[in-house]
Amino acid sequence: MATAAQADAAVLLWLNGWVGRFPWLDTAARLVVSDYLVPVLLSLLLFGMWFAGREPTLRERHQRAVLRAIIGMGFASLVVLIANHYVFRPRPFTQYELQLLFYMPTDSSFPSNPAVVGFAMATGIWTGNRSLGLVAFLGAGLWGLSRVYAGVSYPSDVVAGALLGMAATLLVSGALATIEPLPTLVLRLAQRFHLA
Amino acid sequence: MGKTTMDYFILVVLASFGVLQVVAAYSRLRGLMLFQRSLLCVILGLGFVALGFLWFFGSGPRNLPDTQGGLDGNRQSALFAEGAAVALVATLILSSLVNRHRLPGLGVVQWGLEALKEATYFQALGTGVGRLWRQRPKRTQRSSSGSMAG
Repeated sequence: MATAAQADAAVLLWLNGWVGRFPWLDTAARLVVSDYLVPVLLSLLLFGMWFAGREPTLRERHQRAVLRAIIGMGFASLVVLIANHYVFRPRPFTQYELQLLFYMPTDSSFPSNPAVVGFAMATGIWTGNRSLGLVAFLGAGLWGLSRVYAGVSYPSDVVAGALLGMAATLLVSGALATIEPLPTLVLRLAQRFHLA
Repeated sequence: MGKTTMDYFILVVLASFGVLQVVAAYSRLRGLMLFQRSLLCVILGLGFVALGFLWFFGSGPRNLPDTQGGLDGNRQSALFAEGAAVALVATLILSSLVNRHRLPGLGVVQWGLEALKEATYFQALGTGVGRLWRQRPKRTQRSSSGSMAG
């Protein structure tokens, strides 16, 4: 455990040590680490995916993926909320002298909320469209990496968040399959109003 | 409504509107396209997305905690849903107005977004509602004379 914690801190310190060396990299990191860029882009991807597809079968596949992503994200966020009652990990900037590129969050560092949300959404997108899913995973990964670079999360917080997000959406995928025909009824109702 | 809240809402409306145009062009949903040429819709759509982000990130500091003017995750999710809905409604109305004479409309009832390949949203909705109205159960007229046939 001590070795893992040391490795965790070592990676964090190494990455954060690059802050200040390349101004363009710091500017890019400030943008990516923002609470608004990646989540809005992923949300726009989901929104567009709902309507995308030249054939009805492809559109329906995309729409089911959007449902998985949204419900998976909600479920994962609920798990984090409960977990934070039992596990609190101090932020790395309370333990080490770091160069911060972000404000100082006060909630638990573990697991990383952005990683949970980002990877939950990306997994849902991936279940409907592999290419878009890879793009989403790239965005979620960059968001998580930027949190470490900016000094607000440990690498293990991001990894744990990613795994939790992915697992939540995959669990939701299975659950949605077992409650058919409910998701199909939702889609059929939306189709009656030409919204699906 | 705080400044960040309003700014975020505007970002979502602009970007969602742009995404809808790009996707409508790709999916050949002519009823949603503001231009009948796909390339123009894509350019317009990408322009709106870029405008939204450039304006949002250029108009003030955005790395703020939710205790000092930022938005928490729940608030962001709700605002995104609202903004996307506004963009969708605006698209449906504008595209229906722009395309009302351009598209042939539906000869037969089609459900879903597939209908928007040949009709505007309100044309498609009207065709579907019209069919449901014609298929409604009709009341049987009862004889009012009371006389019995011999």
